[in-house]
Amino acid sequence: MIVIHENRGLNPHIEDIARRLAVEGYLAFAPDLLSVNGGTPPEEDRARELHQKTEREDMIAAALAAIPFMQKHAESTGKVGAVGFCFGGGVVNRMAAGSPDLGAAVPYYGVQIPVEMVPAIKAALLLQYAENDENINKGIVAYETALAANNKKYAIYIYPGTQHAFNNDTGAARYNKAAAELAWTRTLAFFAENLGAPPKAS
Amino acid sequence: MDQKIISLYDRFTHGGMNRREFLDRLAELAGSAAAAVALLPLLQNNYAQAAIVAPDDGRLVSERVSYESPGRR
Repeated sequence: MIVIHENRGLNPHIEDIARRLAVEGYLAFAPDLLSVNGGTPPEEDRARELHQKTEREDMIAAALAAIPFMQKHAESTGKVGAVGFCFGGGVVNRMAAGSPDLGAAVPYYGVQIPVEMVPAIKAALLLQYAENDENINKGIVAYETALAANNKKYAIYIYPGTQHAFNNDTGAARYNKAAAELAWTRTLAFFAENLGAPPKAS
Repeated sequence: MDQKIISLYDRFTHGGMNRREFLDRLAELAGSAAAAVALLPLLQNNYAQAAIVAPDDGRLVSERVSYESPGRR
């Protein structure tokens, strides 16, 4: 399971999300995509600035390279899923389009991919969106139309009364506990259904 | 919190303005610079907030690793 961070690098919140997957029994990996530019600085403002100076395509390439890394990992079943948030959600969409080895993709409020990229998708998709997120949501219709036209396996949820970043429990203004918990339950069920249930701890 | 404030923060975090501009506009929406400063901890990530799964949770084995990335194709 690959966890892709928001637009401010690998921070304690994203590390926590990786741990939440790990306690379910998954092998979870949160790459620091800002490694292409020296790695995530500890101060959030500096991390955001570094993100803005980093080439998006370089970060996407690094995210795609995490897929074979996880596939071949000694502890891996060989099946790989990805979940990402905001910027990371957009990256997860690109991972689905860019690798036939991704089995399941869960982008949270992530920008969609161009429709020309949709035919290449092999992964099952669970698209999680916030209600008050016009910038991201304006791309839903075109994406869904292309997914349906290409017979892709997908589900879409838009959580009522929520903001972009509603899953981020470290951001009080936008965190929505009820929606985050429901979305997380769906995320876990989706991974189990599409990649296999994780092993129980012994 | 006012949707205008949340939308302002969203634009700021997505690179739509610099920090000075963000704080100025936030002060306008909040009514004063002091009110703006009071809002910041609610808008920003607050890592003092306890993690849902602690970094030292005994059920987990964690490590830092590196992997090869061939770069853009």
